[in-house]
Amino acid sequence: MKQFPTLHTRFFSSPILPFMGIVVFVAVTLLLIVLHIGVVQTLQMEVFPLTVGLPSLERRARVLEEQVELVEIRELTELQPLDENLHMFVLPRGPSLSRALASVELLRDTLGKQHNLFSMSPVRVGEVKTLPDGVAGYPLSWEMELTQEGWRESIVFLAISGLLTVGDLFHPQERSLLLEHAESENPAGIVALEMFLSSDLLRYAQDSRAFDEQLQRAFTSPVFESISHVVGDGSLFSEAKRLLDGEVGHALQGELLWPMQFTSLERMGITFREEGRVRLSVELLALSRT
Amino acid sequence: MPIERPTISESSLQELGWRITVFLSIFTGTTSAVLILSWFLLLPTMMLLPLEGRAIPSRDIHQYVQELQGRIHVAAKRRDELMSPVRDPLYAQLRIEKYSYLTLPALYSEIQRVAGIVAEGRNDVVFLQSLQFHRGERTLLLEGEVRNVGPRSMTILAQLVDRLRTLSLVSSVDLPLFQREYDAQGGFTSPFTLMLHLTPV
Repeated sequence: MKQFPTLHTRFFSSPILPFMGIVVFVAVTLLLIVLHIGVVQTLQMEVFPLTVGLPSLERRARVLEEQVELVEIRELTELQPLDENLHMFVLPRGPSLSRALASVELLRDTLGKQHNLFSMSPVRVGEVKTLPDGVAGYPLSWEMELTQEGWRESIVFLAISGLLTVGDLFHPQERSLLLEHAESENPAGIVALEMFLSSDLLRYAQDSRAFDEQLQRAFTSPVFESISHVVGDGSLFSEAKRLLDGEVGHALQGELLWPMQFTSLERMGITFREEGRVRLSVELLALSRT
Repeated sequence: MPIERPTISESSLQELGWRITVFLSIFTGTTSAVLILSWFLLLPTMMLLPLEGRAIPSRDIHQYVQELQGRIHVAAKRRDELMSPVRDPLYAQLRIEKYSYLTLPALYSEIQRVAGIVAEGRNDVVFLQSLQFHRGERTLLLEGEVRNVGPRSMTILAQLVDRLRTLSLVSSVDLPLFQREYDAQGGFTSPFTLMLHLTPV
């Protein structure tokens, strides 16, 4: 008996079904190939360039966090009386003039002994001014006739009046330079660097060997042989160290005028005269808290 | 006797087509299946980045980099705070304002240095007569004169201005009046008044 093919068998025996399958599978394949290419492009253009810098970023984050931890632990074990000095002497409560005037007098006496001062006018005191942020200031002004050495010492003296620590001498960029060197050479040496920067300025200037040796033990590269080498010889650090290690520093210590009251230089005039003389005019504010 | 050539019937053509399409559909189906498996299983594994003891998907790398940069910023700021044992905010603010004149000695040395350069090492060419520092305006007024270089005094003055502009502590220099006069000895002199605007801290 002859069998006639049904619609069902005719459909499945014809090439239509597999042809439809080819179309679907080719479309899916093409789509997936495009997606794969997209992923590879993303990897090449975005991910790989970022991964190149990742190890150094991770290392830096780890080093910084370890440094912070080391310094915080050291802080817990050390007593810091600096806040007390700040509130009593540097920025005392209420308008205050006596320490600032005493410092100016000390400067005059010391420059005179060194023969760096020819003459000085009386110190003029104005009415106390109230400034923003809870600060008040007595205006002081005077003129001096000095040698070249005398006027440089005077500027450094006025610049450091009210500063407490070695770190206060450094411009933020200079401090960043020191920290960068420490980070790249010996991250654990941050404790020694912190001790150096937070040391009392006068004490450091008069006995810097102990601090410098501690720093050199932590950082052996030639860069740290001298901090001046890192921040430059012309920096305030070098000038202040020289001033405070001399007669001015010893006089401040002897007269119990360290730390000095904070003064803010408003104007300064320097006129160069014959025979190496310099006429210096100063206007400043002796600051305190209201 | 004529040779009988075999003929292809319609049904055998249909069967041939069917076999070819079945083969191709199996092939393309297998390819699709492999790519699907690659997309869901292989690629996610290959795109894991091993970092600091853990693996993150590469699509999260931007976020991870931002996290790292955030950690660095916070830690660097904290470290900077710790370098100053005195944390009083008023003192910190006043200390920053002091930096505007903490650098005066260094600036004066730099001015002398560049004056020496434009004078080609001579110390009888550029004479600085006075400096006037104003903290609030962040300015340094420089008065002086250029002499003993004959008719080149204005040229030397212009070179001095150019050199002063390159100093890192100086943000800009106002152009002076360029003038040439006779001095008492009959030579040329160019007096100047230069306003230096100091770089903000």
